[in-house]
Amino acid sequence: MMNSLLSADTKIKAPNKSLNQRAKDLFGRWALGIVLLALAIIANVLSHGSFLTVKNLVNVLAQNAVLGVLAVGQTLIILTAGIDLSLGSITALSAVCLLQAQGLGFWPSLIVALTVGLLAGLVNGLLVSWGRVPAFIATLGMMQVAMGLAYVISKGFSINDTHHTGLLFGEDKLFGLVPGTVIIWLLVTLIAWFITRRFRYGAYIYAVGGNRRTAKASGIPVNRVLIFVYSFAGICAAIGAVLYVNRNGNAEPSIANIATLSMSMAPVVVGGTSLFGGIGGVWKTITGVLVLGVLSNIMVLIGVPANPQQIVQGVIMLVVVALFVWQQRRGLSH
Amino acid sequence: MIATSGQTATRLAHFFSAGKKRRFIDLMPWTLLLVLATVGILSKGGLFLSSSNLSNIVQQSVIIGILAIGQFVVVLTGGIDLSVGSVMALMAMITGMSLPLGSPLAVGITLLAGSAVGVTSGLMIVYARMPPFIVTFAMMTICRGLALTVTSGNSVQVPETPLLALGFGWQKIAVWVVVIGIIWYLLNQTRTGTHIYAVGGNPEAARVSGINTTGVLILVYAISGLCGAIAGILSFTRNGGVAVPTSGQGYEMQTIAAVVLGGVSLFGGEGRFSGAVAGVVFVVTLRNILDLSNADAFWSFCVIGVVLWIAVVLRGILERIH
Repeated sequence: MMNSLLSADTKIKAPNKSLNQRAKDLFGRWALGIVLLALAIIANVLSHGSFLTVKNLVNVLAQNAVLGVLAVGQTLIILTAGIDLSLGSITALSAVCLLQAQGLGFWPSLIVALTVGLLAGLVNGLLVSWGRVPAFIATLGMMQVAMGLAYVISKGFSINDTHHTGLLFGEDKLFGLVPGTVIIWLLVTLIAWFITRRFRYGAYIYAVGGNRRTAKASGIPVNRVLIFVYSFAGICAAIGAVLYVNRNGNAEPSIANIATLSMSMAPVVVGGTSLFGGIGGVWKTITGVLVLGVLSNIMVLIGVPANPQQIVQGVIMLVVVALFVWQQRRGLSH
Repeated sequence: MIATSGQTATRLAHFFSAGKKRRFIDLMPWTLLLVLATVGILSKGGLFLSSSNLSNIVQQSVIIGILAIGQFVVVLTGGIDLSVGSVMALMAMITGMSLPLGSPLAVGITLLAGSAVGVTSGLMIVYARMPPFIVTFAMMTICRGLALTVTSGNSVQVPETPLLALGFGWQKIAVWVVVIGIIWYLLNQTRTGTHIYAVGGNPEAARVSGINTTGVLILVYAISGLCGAIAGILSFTRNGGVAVPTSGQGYEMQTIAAVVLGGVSLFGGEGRFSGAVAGVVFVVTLRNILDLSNADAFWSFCVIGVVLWIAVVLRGILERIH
């Protein structure tokens, strides 16, 4: 059963494919990589050759680490055909809690932040599974509850990282180059990849997303799987909060209003994970994060201010979802 | 023979239990409102019952109430509109910026813009077959971005204009009553209204029986956009001629909470108009009691979120019991 579940999302290969078809498949698999490369080249031209330097590329990774970690959690949820609108708000709440507790020392405040994220995710998971609340309604509620709590706890002010709580990861750089935040992003992705591809629970996640009823009928503990993915995403949001504090040196409740973070489903769908569940994976999401990241870099290079960037992100998400739905329907009609 | 009478009994039992459920869900919003009012009276006494406070509640209900009507019509078709708050903010900006052209033209432009936003969402939902919550969530970001972009994040101020009269006293309430009247008529007295319920109840059956489902879906999102435009004009005038690009945050959740508390099914096809209005008054009264208790304004975000959860879970349990 394990194997059949694992291969559920890989296409059945026809024995004799024409060269044309193979070229199309190859292009389909690498299309996003080609887009990423093209965007990087455009950015390089616009910045007069300073984009494609090792130092800058590492910087791009570091800039997108917070979103990257959130998107990993979001990927697992979307794989179960769910959605989490609250990850940005949970990040804000965890960041505020992290710095409210900074007087306790590094590890205790870290545990506080992770617990807050876990609890918020757990509530989402319980509502979606046992409560049978549609995912977007449950997490819409959490989006407001977590944001409200973040404002209440911080009294609406920005809290400075006076104890350098966030910096403990960031000071050290691997090979004197790669910041700790990027390593953590990759580690979280690796863990999520292990869960989805090397553990039974991962197969369950895909199965629940593929067809919830069939999954239930085949004895998969659907509710427990759902609670697991939402809790995991909550922890991801808390890790994102630590990385945010590391990068910015402060925490404020308005983190919840940062469009890129509240739209953490955008890189997931850009990466090629289906909003309808069962298809996709965490590595695809990294490409999605990078495509959007390089795109926003290009907008900065052209001189587009932050607010219009928000519009562009909304439009990109609409276009990508529309393309995806169109492609799926075309696939069905063939 | 025995089998037949057994079937009849089952049918009868089903009929009555369905009727009971119906009546219970119809009564739920009013019961909840009564409970909340009792809590308000017991905890705040005369302060809550004072005429100025009660008129405050009605005044505060207007904008949320108009947005909730749009939300109600959308939810009846089994959809959702997460963009209502940002649409309202954007429309207030548009009203403010087009006022130099004259009040009537400004109102006309705003109403057109609002319906255009709604129609855009509707078209994407119908023709691109995207899930409503994704389309309207992206729309929420886009409209907020537009509202912030048109003035680089600043407010628009037009202190002196005859339009301001709309934002106060009975005029504002009159606007709400007119909107309620029109939508009530549309839903209960016209064929289109029946079609809206039918599409929500079973889209496939509705399509097969010859209902123009695409038209209905585009119409409901257009209505929601139009309600956003009216709410935008009112919020502009209420603030004394100031449009704030960050206004209306959390309104999507308050309207959804109001609609669900009003006994409307999130899966479409079921729900009464009066319930939705009662739901709005409930949400506003809840906020009012929190205000009177001098609670931090941000607590209301949390409380309304929790109320939304409880309402959806409870309604689900009720559905399953019967």
